[in-house]
Amino acid sequence: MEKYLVSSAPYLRRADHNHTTTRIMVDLLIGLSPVILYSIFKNVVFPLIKGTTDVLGALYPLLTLVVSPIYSLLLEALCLYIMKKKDIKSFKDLIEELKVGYGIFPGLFIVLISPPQIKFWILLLSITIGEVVGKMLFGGFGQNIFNPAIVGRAFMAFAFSSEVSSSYLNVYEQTLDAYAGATPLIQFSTLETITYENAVSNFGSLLDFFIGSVPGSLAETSALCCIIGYIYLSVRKVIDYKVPLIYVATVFLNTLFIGLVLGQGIWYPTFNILSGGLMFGAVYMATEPVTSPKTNLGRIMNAMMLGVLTVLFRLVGNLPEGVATSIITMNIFSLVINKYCIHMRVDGKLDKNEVPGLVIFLVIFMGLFLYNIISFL
Amino acid sequence: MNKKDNFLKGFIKENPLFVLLLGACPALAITTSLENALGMSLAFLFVMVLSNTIISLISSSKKLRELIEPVRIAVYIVIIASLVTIVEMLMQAFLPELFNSLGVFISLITVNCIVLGRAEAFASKNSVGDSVIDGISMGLGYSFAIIIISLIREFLGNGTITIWGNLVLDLNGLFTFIGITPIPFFTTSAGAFMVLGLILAIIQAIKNKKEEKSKEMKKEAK
Amino acid sequence: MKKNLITGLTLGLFALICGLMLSVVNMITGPIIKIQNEEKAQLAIKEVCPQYDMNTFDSVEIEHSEQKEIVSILKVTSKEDASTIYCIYTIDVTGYASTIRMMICVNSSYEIVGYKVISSQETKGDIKAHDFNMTGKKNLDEFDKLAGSSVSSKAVRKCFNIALYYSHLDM
Repeated sequence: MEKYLVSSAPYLRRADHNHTTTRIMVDLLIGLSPVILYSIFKNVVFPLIKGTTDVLGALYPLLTLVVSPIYSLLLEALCLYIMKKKDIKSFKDLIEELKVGYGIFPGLFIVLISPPQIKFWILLLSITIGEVVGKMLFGGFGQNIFNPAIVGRAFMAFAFSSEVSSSYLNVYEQTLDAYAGATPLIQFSTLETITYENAVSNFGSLLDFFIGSVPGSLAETSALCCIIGYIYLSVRKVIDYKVPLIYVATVFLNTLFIGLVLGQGIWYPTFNILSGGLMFGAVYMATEPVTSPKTNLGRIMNAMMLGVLTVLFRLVGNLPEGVATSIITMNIFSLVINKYCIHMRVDGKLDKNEVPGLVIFLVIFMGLFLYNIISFL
Repeated sequence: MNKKDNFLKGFIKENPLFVLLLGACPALAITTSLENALGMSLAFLFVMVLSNTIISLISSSKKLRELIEPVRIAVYIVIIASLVTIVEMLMQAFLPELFNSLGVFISLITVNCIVLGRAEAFASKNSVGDSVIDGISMGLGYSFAIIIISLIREFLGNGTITIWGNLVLDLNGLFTFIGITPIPFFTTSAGAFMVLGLILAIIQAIKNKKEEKSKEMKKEAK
Repeated sequence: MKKNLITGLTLGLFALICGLMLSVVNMITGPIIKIQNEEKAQLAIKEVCPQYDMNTFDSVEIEHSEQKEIVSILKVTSKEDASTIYCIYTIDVTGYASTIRMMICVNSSYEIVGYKVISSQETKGDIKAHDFNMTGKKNLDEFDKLAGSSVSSKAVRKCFNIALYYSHLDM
């Protein structure tokens, strides 16, 4: 077998000159803007209109949203300065390094997937872990194994579980009695008998889930905004349009069967794909260029596995959310999938000795898919 | 190698945990408080020194060494295991509190790679005196490593430093002073991995820097 | 062949010496450990059953196989007339994130005398320190659940339910 070298991301196509890393960054920010704007509306503007709080209380989420990316960028600059003292002689060199480092994104993503009322020091500590441990210690952008934002978020979730689960409601939602549990999914995970009434009706209807007016992390609640961002990013070819589609479709299919087993209607899978961070994770996190597989087939495999793992963690296992955990789990296998798929990419066809790998993948995938369903029988 | 080098090598240069990465399992599991680390250090030092002594005594007679050559690992394990069991029984009888918190990890000293590794690599080839020094050096080096890890973990995770029994240094005031609380995550095993990993990274960074410096010195000399 | 035999015998000799050493140490420490373990068991009983006294009561462990959650039952009988005074149940139930082990003491008029959560790794609330308001109760009407942890509370409730139910059969 010949050996192929996989160099680190991002890959730029020579076809369009404008497609530089800076261009990707601006595109990603534009793609994120509907989500960010909606989260500002939901967590800052709306409580102010309703008059449930003073200006300072309402502005807290906005403050976290502004400070986190800046803090993350500063951390990156500090790490670069310490680690590459030799290469960086002047301030200009540092700026050049920062330009290609995407330093603001770990901080931005962590704050977007954190609860709106999370304490500031917890947020900053998580960003530090995500940025320094998850990214810079591996050697900076392009070298990291795990998605830095999810490393930080996972640290936050496991280290401060009670703090996190008690800060999901924003200032407006805190004044409502209707929300007994924190988020729909946390409430969902404690239900004994599942019906449409006690799973969805507390939070309105499925349309509310689609628009995003339910409690949850800062930016993950609105499926609509995620879809807008998805369309923009796909058209600009920043992300692979297949990955979110397959991911969400797998979750939908798997929960559809589970819903059938439990005797639930079509609302059950719809609820599962609309609630929590699934849409956000599928569009913005699972498509991250560095830590996800790099070939077409690899990406499809990755997305399918993400789907079944999310259902496994969320419905069979003990984690109410499951998206971040499944993405971080599949990050581990990116290397294996890359090594496997790169041969096929180069050869352009399925070789005889590549069939077993495909079979193993299908067996694992179908096994998990069926296991998810069987465990509800 | 003179006696001083032999003694000092266990702390930094050949530190069993930080450099050789041996015996990580008990080191990660019991370092939740300084008291545990100290107890483990005592038990480990005792086993390490005695096993090194006995094994080098056995190997010092040439005839006996040839005789047990095919089964030497089994002999080492028998000796180490009985030493560990003695420590375990003594600890259970006279320090029951510590025994409860260390739990199964005392027995795990038996399969701790450092003890067997030093027996095979050092004690069986060197004189009794050197082996005793090696045992003390390795034992103290390991203790040094787990005490550092336990200090970091207990301080960050609990806000206290338990020196022994009721002698507890409460540093929670420091946390409230800057407006945060201790992070219990660091007392879990995931936190232990994180602390160990960060310490390893720092040591590696220092090492790399030293190597670079010596390389540059050589270049200049040329 | 002969050399191998001698090698084997040497190994056996080492094992023998080590075994002798162990037995000597065990002779010294064995009795101390035994006394400590007994004290520990007595203390555990004393915590759920404050009236328990070693001198006037006997404790016997009885067999039980019907309910898989029950780990052990300790029957406390009077030394004078051998009548059963307390039953102490050790019960394992699955909670939200871990298995909760409880010790519950029921007296002969089927009232709960004392209880203790021995081990649990539940995520929400301090279940070990929570007062479920069950001391001196005969049924679960006034069960005070731990706010914010419905699954754990349900599990603890189940423990009390099992203990109350089986106390009627065992006494």
